[in-house]
Amino acid sequence: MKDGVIGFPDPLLEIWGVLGDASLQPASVSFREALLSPMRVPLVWGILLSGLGCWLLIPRRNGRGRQFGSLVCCLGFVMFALQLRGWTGLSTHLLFWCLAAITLAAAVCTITSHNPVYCAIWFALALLGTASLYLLQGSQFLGVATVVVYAGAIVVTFLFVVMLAQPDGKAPYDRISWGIFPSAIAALAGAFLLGALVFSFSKLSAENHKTIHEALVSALDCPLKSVKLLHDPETNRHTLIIKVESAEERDRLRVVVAQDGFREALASQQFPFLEQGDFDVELIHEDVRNHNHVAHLGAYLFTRHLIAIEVAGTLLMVALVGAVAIVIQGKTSTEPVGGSS
Amino acid sequence: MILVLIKIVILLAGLMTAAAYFVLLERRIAAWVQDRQGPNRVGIPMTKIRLLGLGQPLADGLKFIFKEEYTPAHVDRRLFILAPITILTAALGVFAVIPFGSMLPPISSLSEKPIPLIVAPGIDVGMIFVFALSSISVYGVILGGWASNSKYSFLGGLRSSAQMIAYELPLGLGILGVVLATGSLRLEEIIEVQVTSGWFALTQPLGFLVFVVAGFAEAARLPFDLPEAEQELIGGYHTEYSGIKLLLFLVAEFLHMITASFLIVILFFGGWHLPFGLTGPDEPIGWGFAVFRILVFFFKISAVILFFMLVRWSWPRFRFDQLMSLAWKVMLPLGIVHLVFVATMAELHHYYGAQWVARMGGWATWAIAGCAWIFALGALGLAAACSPIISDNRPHTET
Repeated sequence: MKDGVIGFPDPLLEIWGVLGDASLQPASVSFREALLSPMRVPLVWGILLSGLGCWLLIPRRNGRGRQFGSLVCCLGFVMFALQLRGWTGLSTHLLFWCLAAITLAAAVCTITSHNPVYCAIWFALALLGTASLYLLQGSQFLGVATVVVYAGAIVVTFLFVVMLAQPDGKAPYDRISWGIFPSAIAALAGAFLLGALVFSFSKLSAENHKTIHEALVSALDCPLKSVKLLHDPETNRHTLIIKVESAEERDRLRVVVAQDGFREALASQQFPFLEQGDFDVELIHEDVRNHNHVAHLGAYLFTRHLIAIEVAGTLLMVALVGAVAIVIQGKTSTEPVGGSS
Repeated sequence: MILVLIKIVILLAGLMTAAAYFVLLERRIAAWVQDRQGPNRVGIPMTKIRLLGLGQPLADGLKFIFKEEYTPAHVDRRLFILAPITILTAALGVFAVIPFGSMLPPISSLSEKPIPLIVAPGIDVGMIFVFALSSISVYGVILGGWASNSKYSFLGGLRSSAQMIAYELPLGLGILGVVLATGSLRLEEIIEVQVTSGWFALTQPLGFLVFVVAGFAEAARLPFDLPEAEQELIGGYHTEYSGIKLLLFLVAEFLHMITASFLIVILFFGGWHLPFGLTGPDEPIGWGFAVFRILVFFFKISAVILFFMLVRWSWPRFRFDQLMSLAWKVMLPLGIVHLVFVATMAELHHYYGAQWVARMGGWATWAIAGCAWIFALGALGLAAACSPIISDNRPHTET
């Protein structure tokens, strides 16, 4: 750190950087530099712009500046996407980016709609987007269960309550009761949360990481879906997690990786841990059409997490019994007019 | 890629045409039951050829499209348009994981492998996917009722969505029995298992009953057509709709019925296989077997749809409180009891299955089916003895 300059990402790195390897983190940038060169650190601008945009979009007494707010919010999200550049290409992951954009937009609309019914609908759309992102990642059960549980049951219940309680839909008083300051803090907190996520993922796209990907592609001589590097601080071992395109590719590469030539090819690159040859390689092929997906999931849940499942089930049962008890308490016995027959 | 698109086009065109012609079939059957003629006039235009009224769906469709599409001034316009689109999308989306036939032999220009006749083959959670999308269609009903901004529509929408949510539980319980017995959520595999284990309609009669009743309710068919109830409400949640939007609602309703028939055949009647092991999954993949299987499959589905239509004119409609009592006090306990029974049987099979089959030989399936029937009749008898549906309908005073 240079003297007299506030090293901007350094404190953030200390908080968020526990997850990753120090060699992968971008070099320290001064605070002024970070603010003034958004192409270098788009994350900062992303947080500021999306926070400001959300704040402008949140319903207030005078509804001015909403178009401007949506524009600013979009700009902020584009900044986040720029921060993630190199992580996934736009052309190869077009479906992912479309779904992500829809989900984010729906999520913003959920908290900024005037009408509670519209809020619920946008929430349902955000959940559907999340479910399709899960499906895209190959976790079928999670995706479908999200739709069944959240979109199919919980949001429908919300809709029922909202429609029965406020048939007119609009409820200005409970939407504007927050002052300007608390809403600004809330919007900024949301933006920071998103920024934290983006930051922790963008480390995967740091320059070093790109080089590792290129080095691996040249060493293995085949296209790779993605490369992830994990570092276990306790054992000081690195693990390369490589995702490949198909199952045959995975089996072929297993043999290649086991040979000595592979490690020698990588050792010529300038990575300290690679030079020592002190790392594990894990090859993964995620088939979206995995035939034993649910069976594996069930076995995992009911062996490794059996107690957690049982406790959660019991908790739900207790809640159900409690609900029935509350309903019975307020009920008085009724009798037909004119006596029973 | 092209193959998937071709499959989607065939499926969508087939479903839409089927929905149109099932409307005609339904009207002809209604007429037959009520001793009328029914729509038999529309044939080839400008000639006098009637063709048994087969032109009627085309004429109806044209009428719907060219009718004035009136949107009342007081509605919430965006949700008013969204509702029919949601319900139709959900109804059509379900068919992504429902097979409409077995394998086709490879066609040289399209694919080198055999072609499975399903849009998304090999999705492992097919059954839950169907369930998820059918729960999305509740949105169409609620939004349609609410966005119309009319009391009749709103009440119709609330009634209908309450019904759909209530009957989703027994529907799921009926499915769970089958899933527990097969150990898979894939529809293709469920069909295959039934070749050896016997049709689940035979071995799980209680689950079959619960599923069929819940399927009727989900499809909002008589005796569960409370959402529409022509004589009581003006038209339920789609009172304010007209023209092509109303058509979307009606098509979606018919598609629900077709989905229910597909599921009943796949889950409980062995899909495209004949009973008693006459046909099995070991047959070679060829055009002859492929066409034969499709014919068997669609024959069964047509039979179930015919059953749906005959039931419509055989049973009076439930009152709303009876409908809810049936769901929560009869169907749900029956479904749970059935699930416990199937779980017990599965566990027994796991431990003693091999010895049992060795001793009983070919009779094992029949013995299991017999146990299941005795159990089902006992549970039904118990439900009838408790008679939770019979309620005192006179006005009540608080005591």
